[in-house]
Amino acid sequence: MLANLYSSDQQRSRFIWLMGIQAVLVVVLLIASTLLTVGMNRLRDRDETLLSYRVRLNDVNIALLALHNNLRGYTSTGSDIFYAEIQKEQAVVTEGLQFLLVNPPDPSLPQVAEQVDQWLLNTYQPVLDAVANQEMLLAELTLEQGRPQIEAVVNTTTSLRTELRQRSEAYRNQIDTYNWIKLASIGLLCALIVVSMIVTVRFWRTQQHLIHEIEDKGSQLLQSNHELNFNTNQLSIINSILGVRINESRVLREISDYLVNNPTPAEAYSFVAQTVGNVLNTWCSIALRLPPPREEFLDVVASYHSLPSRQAYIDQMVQTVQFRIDNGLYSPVFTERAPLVELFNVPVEQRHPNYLTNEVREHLAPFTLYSYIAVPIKIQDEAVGLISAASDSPERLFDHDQTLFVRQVADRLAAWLENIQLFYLLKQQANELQTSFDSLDDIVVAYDSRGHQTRINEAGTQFFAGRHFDFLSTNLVWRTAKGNVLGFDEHPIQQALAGTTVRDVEVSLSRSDGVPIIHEVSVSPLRSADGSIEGIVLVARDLSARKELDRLKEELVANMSHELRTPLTAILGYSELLLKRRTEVLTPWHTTKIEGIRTGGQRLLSLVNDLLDIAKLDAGRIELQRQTTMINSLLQEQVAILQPMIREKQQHLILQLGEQLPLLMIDPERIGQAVTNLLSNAIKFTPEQGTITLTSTALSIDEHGQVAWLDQVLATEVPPMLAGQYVLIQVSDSGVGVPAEALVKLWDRFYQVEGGSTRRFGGTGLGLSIVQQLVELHGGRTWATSAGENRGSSFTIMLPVSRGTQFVSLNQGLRRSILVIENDQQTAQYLEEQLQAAGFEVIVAADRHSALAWANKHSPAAITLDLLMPNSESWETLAALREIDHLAQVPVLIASDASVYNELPGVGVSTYVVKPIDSQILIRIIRQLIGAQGQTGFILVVDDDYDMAELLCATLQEHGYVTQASYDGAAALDLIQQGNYPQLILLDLMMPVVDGFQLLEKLRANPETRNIPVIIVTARDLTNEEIRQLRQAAQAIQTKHTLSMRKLVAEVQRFAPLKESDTP
Amino acid sequence: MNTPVFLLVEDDPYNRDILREILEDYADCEIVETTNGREALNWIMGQSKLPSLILLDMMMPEMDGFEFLQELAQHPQRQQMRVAGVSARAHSHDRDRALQAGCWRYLTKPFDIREIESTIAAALAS
Repeated sequence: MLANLYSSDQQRSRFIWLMGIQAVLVVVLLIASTLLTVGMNRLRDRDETLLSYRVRLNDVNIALLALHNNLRGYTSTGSDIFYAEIQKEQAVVTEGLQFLLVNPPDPSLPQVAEQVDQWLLNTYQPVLDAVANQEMLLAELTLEQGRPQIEAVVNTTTSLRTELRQRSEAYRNQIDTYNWIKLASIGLLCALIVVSMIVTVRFWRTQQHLIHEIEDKGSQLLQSNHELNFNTNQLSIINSILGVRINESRVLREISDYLVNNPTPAEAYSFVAQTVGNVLNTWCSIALRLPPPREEFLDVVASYHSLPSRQAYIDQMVQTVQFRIDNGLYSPVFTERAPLVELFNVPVEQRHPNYLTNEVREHLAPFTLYSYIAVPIKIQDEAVGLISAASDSPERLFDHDQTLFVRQVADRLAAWLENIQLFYLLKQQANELQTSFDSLDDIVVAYDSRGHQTRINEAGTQFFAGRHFDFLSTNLVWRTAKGNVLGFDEHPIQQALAGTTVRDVEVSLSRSDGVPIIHEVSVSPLRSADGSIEGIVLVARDLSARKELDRLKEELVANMSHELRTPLTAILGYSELLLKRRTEVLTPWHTTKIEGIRTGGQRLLSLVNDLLDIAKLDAGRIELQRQTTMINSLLQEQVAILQPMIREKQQHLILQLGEQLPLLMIDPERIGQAVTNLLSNAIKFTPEQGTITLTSTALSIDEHGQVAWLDQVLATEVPPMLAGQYVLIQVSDSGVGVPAEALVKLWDRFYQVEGGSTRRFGGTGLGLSIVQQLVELHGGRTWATSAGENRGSSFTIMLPVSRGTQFVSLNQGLRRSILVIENDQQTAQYLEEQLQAAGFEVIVAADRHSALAWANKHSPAAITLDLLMPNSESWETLAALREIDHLAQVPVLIASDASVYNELPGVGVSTYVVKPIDSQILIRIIRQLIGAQGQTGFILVVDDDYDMAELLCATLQEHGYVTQASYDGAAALDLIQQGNYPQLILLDLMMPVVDGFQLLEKLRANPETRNIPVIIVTARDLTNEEIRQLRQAAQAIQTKHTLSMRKLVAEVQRFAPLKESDTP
Repeated sequence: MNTPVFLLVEDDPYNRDILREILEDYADCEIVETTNGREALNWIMGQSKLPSLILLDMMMPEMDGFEFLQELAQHPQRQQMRVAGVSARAHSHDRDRALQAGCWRYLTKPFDIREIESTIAAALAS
């Protein structure tokens, strides 16, 4: 309708415009027709005027003519008839002229009149006069004379008349035109009127329609209006209700906000009671149950009345009354755990006469309760208290909505209480945790999943003195318990972040005072409820005590071994010496006793060694000094040592040593020890004249576990091992055998098959355990088989062939390889040529990185190292090379400029031997170093142990060497510095005043003494560190001259002699 | 014919030898050597002449010193036989245990010759 209205608006304006235009047009037309009519009338007037003039002119004309004629006639006759006529005519003319001269339509008229006047004057009058005088002729003549004038006048008037007639016609034409126009405009006017009538009618009708519509709408609107009014009224009712609710919501929100801001409980209760009391305009209380054992009682924590005057009463009541949960109006709240609403249209006492105890009644005397809400505060469905509102005014009765409100308040309070409880609980737990956390001695650090440190305990803070320590730093070197360095992808924190718990890794952490302390670290991932990793916890334990303990143990072991061994040296040494001369000096009785001494000493020695080995194995301190070893040579050595025992018992020893066995990368001393143990067991447990067989062979195992033997000499089952090549050593005997159930157990420590039988043979039961551990340290296995009691037994050792060595039998023509570490291209090339010419395969590495990369995977026979590589790389290379297990024994020859001589630590130590010395071995070494006996020169023995020195000298002298003894380093130095240079020095390291190391250094410093071979004789097992130090030093120093290249090659050959089978 | 009899109960031949030498050096006597408790008991059972001193090794195969003492306790003339226990175990409680088991003296190894001689003297004196 509105659209209609809108269009009607348009219509109306259009209508107005139209009407306006029409009106304008009508007016215009009216004006036009009026003007036209006026014009036409004017023209008609003019026309009539012209007509009248024309008539007059005509009259005049006629009159003149007539006059003329009449004059003629008069003249002719002189009759008065004519005269009358003439008079008439003349009057007409004069009148006419007079008439015509008023507004003459033509300017010529006055002329005409003039002319007429003239004629009249000139002609007429004279004529008349003439006549009157009876001058007829004169009259005629004058008349005739005047004729042209008259004729002119008549012509003029005639033409005038014509003209005037033309003008009239023109006027009439104009009038006609005007008439047409007028008609047309009238017609138009009519048309316009019609049109406007039509338009008006239409408009009027549209308007009417609209009006009807509007009227309809209007009535509709009225109706709507009525409805609206009604709704508005409703709304305002609702509005006011909403107002109340909004207020309540606001209050609830206020309460929530207040509670969120960590008020104290007292503040919270007071606030809530007050707020609720104010909203409901009533008395609001909050009460909580007391904790056990008084859980039957309620503690009113807040009670507020919106009227201050009443508050005082309430305060009093709260202070004096003990409320119980079972005897109040509110009691159902606790029993049913549901809200209670009571509306009292009668005073409450009438409904619940018993609810008020006397004392309560006393306090409440001024009140009359009219309605009451009590809502439980529930935590986990337990009613821990209540919130109540009581109205003491009959106008203020609580309704359902208000109950709802109070319930909501109770919910919030309950939630808050629960949170508070949880909060305190958590706080307590957190405190406990924090206390535990901080009371730990170990450093505990927590990281989040992105590797950022989140907490560190007190121990950690103190250790690092508040410094932020980054366990993720790449400067930290992580090692396994065995000392292997972990690679970056094995970083314990990274592993833990990936979900693996890492234990037993070690790292050195710098304490706040700068001291580095080794810690044992374990890192565990922290998982969230869904299993994803949300962080890690790292625990670092100070290992210094343990390491110290280990070190002390090791030292104790080392020192004890010295202490234990030294007297044994005397026992064994002297008894040996005595026995050597038995034929000359001893009686059989003496011989037996001294043999007893020797045997006792030997047993003691082996026991001491076993104990020390066990101690070392326990401490994990046995480090293998691996060398490439020909196993058969080793076996033959051990056999040689045990030959006397075998001969004594008249046993047969059968050797079945395989041919072309692969070289083993083993610690020959340890494996030798193992083999000896097995052999001596065999000897012990085999009766006289029994048979002992020692077999060595090799086999390979492929990925499927298939065993391929090198030869068919052994038929024994091999336990499952990794694919690879192995060497087997077996000791079989025809002795007492081993019962089946003992075959596995007998490798256990202290196990003895029978308490008796081993006692019979002596021994502690340690031997086999040590054998097994030593073999397993090499990555090998041991096992025993036996056909049964008294049917002999076999003990087998299986050792893996290291990757570096190869089956020589495959005849790949493996040449011994030398690693040349040299950054100068020319020198490297020269060395390569020289060494290749000597039959070696040469690998050149120009820097530490490539040297180590190659050396890690191969076993060179020797390494040459240029000392002058830039940035002290040489020493680092040397140190790094020594770290590599399988290179520990590879001789390193240093090629360098002579000037660096003096900077070298250590000396040219060739080897060392351990007391008690096997003299055979000692002699062999000495021979190797300085040749056989008979050479000129002497051997200097330096030892502070007098007996030791005597013994050594005696031994050497036996072999034809000349000896000199010094009992301390200073004496030795004096001797030497006086120019007495020995051929060889036997040196005890542990001496007072000037100990072995110092002596070595001094010898080194002097070019004259530098090259004297030195054999370290020590009662004390050098710790691996010391061995390393000694070996770390160059074994020979050469200079970079052409001559010395040859020497260099010679040295290499000496330390890594090529065998025939090695040349291609 | 009043040479005293000394009974040696010791399994280790060297120890036995040493003890024997010491005994022979010290006194004129008869020495009986056994290598374990069983042997010793067997010998005692068949004897009328009781040993003045039994040198008893506490750790032996088959029947050790303690077991021997237990059995010996049943001998009617036990009181007349003096047993000196011999052992490498030097702890005080080993000593107490041996004494409680019936040893009259307790000797530790390695031997102190003088101690052994005084023990023999004491045994012979009674």
